[in-house]
Amino acid sequence: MPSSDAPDNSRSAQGELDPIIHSPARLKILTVLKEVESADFLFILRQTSLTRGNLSSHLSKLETVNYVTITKEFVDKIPHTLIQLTEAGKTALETYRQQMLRRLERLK
Amino acid sequence: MLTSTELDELALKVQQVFYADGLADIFMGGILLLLATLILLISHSAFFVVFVIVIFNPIFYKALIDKAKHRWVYPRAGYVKPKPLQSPTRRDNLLGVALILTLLFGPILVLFASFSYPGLIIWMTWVAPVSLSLLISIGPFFVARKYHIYRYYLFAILPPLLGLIIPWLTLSLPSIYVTYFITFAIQLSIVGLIALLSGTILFLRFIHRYPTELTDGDRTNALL
Repeated sequence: MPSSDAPDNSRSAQGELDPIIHSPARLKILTVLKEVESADFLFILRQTSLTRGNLSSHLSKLETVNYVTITKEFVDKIPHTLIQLTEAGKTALETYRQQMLRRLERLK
Repeated sequence: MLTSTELDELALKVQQVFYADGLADIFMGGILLLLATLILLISHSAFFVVFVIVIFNPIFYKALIDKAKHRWVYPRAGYVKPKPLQSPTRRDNLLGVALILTLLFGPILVLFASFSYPGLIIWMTWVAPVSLSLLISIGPFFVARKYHIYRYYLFAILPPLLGLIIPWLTLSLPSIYVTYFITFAIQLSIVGLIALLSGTILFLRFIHRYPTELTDGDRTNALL
């Protein structure tokens, strides 16, 4: 659910980088989630090589700004906590990518 | 700081996850060996049984892979639901149909164009094994190209190569009599065995890399 921690859209419109995505760990998590429909905690842990505590705190932050949704479900009677990138997350990631590309172009 | 190359590599690694545990190779090898058995049994009473297994194989394939992944892979490497495949464009569909029709009917047209006893021998020795092998190569080639899994190039190149080598060996060693069907069965068996072997090695490596099966508590983690 979006909260007061949600990133300021006017800031990204001005070309400022989204500080939520700009963190390397969160960028890794969002990159993994962009490539799949959904994944559980363990999968993201293996792919990003973050520590459990680190991953937990970054996921909480991403959920607070509504970039990911975290749902519990049973797959073959086994509980899974599934994490999925939201539309807002996809848009934010794409905006971040475009901004970074523009910045790198200017450095040429 | 993360570089875009590192991010690209991470994205590619995630796309390759489905093939990383070797199960896809094991099942592909199994299917090819089953097809080879089917060809060898063509005049045998057991042919029908193998034929039914081969026909229903695409249905069993997904169910078997899913079951194996739930049993051995997800508890170790985590559960992932892959993105649904993007529906192919009209151009992709047309190209695919054209390719399959060319490989299927092209050799038949060649056969009719050169219809004579020597023509038939040449066709059965050189044209048919290679064109049939190219049909088998389409799938592995697609996987290798899309996901950059280089061992699949071997699975794509090997069948047509064997389609040339086996008849050549037959011609140079006249004592070995290999009929057209046996040629095709040998091609399938060799590729199937290599796939089975590479899949088994990958699977054992995967199990060795992630030895402990996690509990439900681990899977659901502290935060969530």
